Amino acid sequence: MMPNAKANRIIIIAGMLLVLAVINGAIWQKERHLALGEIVYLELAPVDPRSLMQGDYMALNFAITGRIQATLNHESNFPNARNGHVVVRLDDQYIAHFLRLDDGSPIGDQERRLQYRLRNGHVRFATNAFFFQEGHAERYQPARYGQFRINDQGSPLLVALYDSELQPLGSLAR
Amino acid sequence: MASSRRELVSLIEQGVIPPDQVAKAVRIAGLNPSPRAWAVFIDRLLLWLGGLMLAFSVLFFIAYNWAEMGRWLRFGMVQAALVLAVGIALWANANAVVYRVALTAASLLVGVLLTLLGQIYQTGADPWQLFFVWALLALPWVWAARFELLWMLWLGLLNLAIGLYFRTWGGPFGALANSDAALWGVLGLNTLALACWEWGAYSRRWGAGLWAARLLAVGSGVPITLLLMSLIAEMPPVWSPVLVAYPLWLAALYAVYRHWRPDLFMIAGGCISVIAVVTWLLARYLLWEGDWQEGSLMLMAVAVLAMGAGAVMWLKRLHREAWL
Repeated sequence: MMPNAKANRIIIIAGMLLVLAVINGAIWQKERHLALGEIVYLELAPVDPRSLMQGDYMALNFAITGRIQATLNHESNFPNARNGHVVVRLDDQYIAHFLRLDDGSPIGDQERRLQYRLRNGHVRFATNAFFFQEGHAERYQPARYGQFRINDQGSPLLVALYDSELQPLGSLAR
Repeated sequence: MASSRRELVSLIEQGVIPPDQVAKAVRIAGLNPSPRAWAVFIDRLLLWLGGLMLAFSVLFFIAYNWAEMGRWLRFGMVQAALVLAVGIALWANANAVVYRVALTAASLLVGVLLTLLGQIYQTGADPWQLFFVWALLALPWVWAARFELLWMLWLGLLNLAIGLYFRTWGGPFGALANSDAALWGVLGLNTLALACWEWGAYSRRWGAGLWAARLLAVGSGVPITLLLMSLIAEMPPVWSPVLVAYPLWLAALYAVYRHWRPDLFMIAGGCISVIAVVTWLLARYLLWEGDWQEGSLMLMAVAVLAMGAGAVMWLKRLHREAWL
């Protein structure tokens, strides 16, 4: 039935080690990203209120995606999909303000590169949903900012939501 | 089994077996499964259902208890289930069915783990990346299981990944519409897989797997037919490589499945594809470009009937030639 059972055993164990290594490596990477990444606040943009609260998550849209979209719309051959960077300026509260799309030119001390994704002509920024424990919806109503941690590549991970005074409302349920 | 059934049917049709003896003949020919065959079948069915349910129960348990469990517990549970499935596969190396169920369950759990990763960290990764990494990580087990159903599931994952990738990013030179690029990608993948499958079945005497080859042929025939149909629908006529690829594809299908490895299913699939294309062509010239008349619909109906009847007659003749 099994011509080379020993070779199969080795393949199966190697496969398992590969899966565990890749998954746990990714977990370790994300945990480090969340613990050590630089803190950046992004302002929220209003979303259609009917789709805002969905039981255990909240639809998010960031003001910066509108600025990126508007800038991209001015480009002559507007692409349909792209992974790009946007350059932002951090003020002294670490709130990010849109400066320009990254063109490779050096950036200043207060400036950072953030990764964005363009898919089907729409700009996506990390995630478009904030998950919280069911029944905690009211707590997040006054949200004004999303707190991100960015790594060296400028890839953002959403951590928590903050109100207009930058007071924490709660972290993303993980 | 199928051929002895067919022989019996033809004997009955020719009147060799008198009607009152048919029941006895069926019993002697062993066409009805024995109690033991039933027992084996039920045993395997329950093993399969049990194995798959255990794998899915991990998913549902975590989804239901999402709020109560921390992320470490969730990751730990799925990884423990994965190690358990692999352990069972190693332990049951001699029992082919248990071995395959365990490896199938392990391959499914890889997908659960990856989904969990994307959900917990909200990485914003694209769906094609999930399916692609899943297929990549499950490949060693799919290889070791030597099991056609698992291969087909794996190819399904790869189809999803390639289709979604091209839908997002378009073709390699940006020359194709995204939906066309996705069809080309899926066509290439399934045609390649079909060629490998037939080569393996021929030169290495792999298991029967007839249904798998047919499934792959459908996976190759549907996209190429759709590509040609979408080309026909283009209003100013344009040139596309599918005009070369389609005749080649049809010729290869005919040569392989008429002469080399006769399979009526494949030839019939080719007929359906041609009928669809011709009907679509007629629709373009009669309905969209010509004057709209009731007569055009009538003409199309007649054409479809004629082509269908012609195909059936031809297939019946091939069937008689090849199998009797």
